[in-house]
Amino acid sequence: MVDFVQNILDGISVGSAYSLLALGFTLIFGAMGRLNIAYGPSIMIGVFAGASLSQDVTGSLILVFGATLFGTLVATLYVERLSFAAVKTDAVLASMVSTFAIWMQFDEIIAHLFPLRTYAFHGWDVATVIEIGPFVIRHSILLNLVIVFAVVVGLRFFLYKSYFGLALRAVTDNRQSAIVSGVNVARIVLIAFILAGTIGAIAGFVIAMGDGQVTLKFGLWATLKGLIAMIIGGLGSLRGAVVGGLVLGIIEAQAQWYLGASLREVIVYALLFLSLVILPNGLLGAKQHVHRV
Amino acid sequence: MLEIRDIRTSYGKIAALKGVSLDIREGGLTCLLGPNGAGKTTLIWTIAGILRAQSGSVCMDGQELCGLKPHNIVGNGVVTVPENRLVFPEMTVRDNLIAGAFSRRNDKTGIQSDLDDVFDRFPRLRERAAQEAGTLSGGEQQMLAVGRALMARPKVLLLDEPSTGLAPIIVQEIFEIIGQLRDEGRTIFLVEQNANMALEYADHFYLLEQGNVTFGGRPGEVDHDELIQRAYLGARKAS
Repeated sequence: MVDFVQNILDGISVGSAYSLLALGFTLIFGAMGRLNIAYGPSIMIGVFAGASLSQDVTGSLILVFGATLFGTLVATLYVERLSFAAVKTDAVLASMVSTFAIWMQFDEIIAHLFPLRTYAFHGWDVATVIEIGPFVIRHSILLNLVIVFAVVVGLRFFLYKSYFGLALRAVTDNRQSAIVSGVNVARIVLIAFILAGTIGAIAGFVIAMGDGQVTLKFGLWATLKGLIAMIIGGLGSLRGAVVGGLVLGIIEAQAQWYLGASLREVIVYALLFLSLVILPNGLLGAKQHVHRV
Repeated sequence: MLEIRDIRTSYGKIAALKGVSLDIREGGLTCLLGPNGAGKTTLIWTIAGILRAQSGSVCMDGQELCGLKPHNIVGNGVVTVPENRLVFPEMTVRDNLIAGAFSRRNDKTGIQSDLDDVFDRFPRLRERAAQEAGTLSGGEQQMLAVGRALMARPKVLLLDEPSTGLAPIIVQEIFEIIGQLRDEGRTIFLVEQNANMALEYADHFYLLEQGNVTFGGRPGEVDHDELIQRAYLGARKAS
């Protein structure tokens, strides 16, 4: 029982980062109705920018985060211009396939610029722990939770209290209606990408600090985890993205503890498959509205 | 108010509008009739800037609107109520209405007073202000779509087939709303298949057949029945 609870605590820590990745995917999916699978690799550009700064120049976490954010945003906007703004709105497949092409570009760029493949990413000292009874809570868990909570609260505030948030919800709900309502859809989509990029940079920064290193596989890893968390939680639902991320993190931690690391991924993909079969709309997926007469 | 001249719009190689010219007169209800596939909705979408015209012009008070982006056309006061009541189903009724005022989003007090006006006009929307728009009935969604368009303070209101898919009693109600808007002196362009109903309210009307305007005039000037039979059924009265 102690192990089980401890696994949940560990799972929440990792899962909160998955939640952020899923949130970014959901924002873009909502605004565009299509997936941006280059999202993870875009974040990878950012964390490598952060890693090179933290290795060679400065230990200042604010500057390292700044570099991570800058790199992620540049990559995210590059994807937005090439795969979304430049592709016709009805060519859903074309834009998804082109994000795949950009993913390959990003992988190659990083492989050329960073030939060692694994780079240290210095974070804050998280060796200290809080012990409550038999449970061990690393400070980094609390920190991750605070960060995710802050992002979710900030995002909700933006979406429900600002005019651009209202417009983003409008574009997400029905693009055609948004156009006839006079919403500048192109600008709102750009805002959605900037938001997703910022959230992705925060996620990448937290993850890289937690791992203490970044590798070439970061892009693939981030896209997979974010997508799986989004699908488990429910396509298009922000609340679902948060829940999906936490559920994924907890199940991973339990599977790793009881079944071992090698079976962990098997369990995760089985879970993904199950959730697609049993709950195709995810745990908190968008309701299907019937066209009423 | 709105002068439409020689508009040509195509879908790929298929010409949908083959040089449409008509006038939407200020402070009146101009109606466009025509059978399915005549190009009525295409014309609305072209005026709204969602579809691009190959050639021609849409001119409002001397300003060219053709070629502007849809949100700029709304910003210029030409606002569409689209066919099939395109509301935001997962947003509340209130948020639906506020979204309609995007083109003047910095005018907070104006938006609030317009919101009150829309709620006074449609008390049922006020009752359901916090409800998701997808849960409204068809007639209520149509009211919401009209209310949302009013939130943009339109100079010209383009109504695309507001009666489609509604029960006859609701259609009656919707047309009463349209008549009321006309009596307030608003400029309205109504596209309809329901010819008899539309002609009751229209000041001017045009007939669109296969991408061409084939008739323009006032209701009562001509024998509508013959015209409409000709347009919708392709039949000519023996004389």
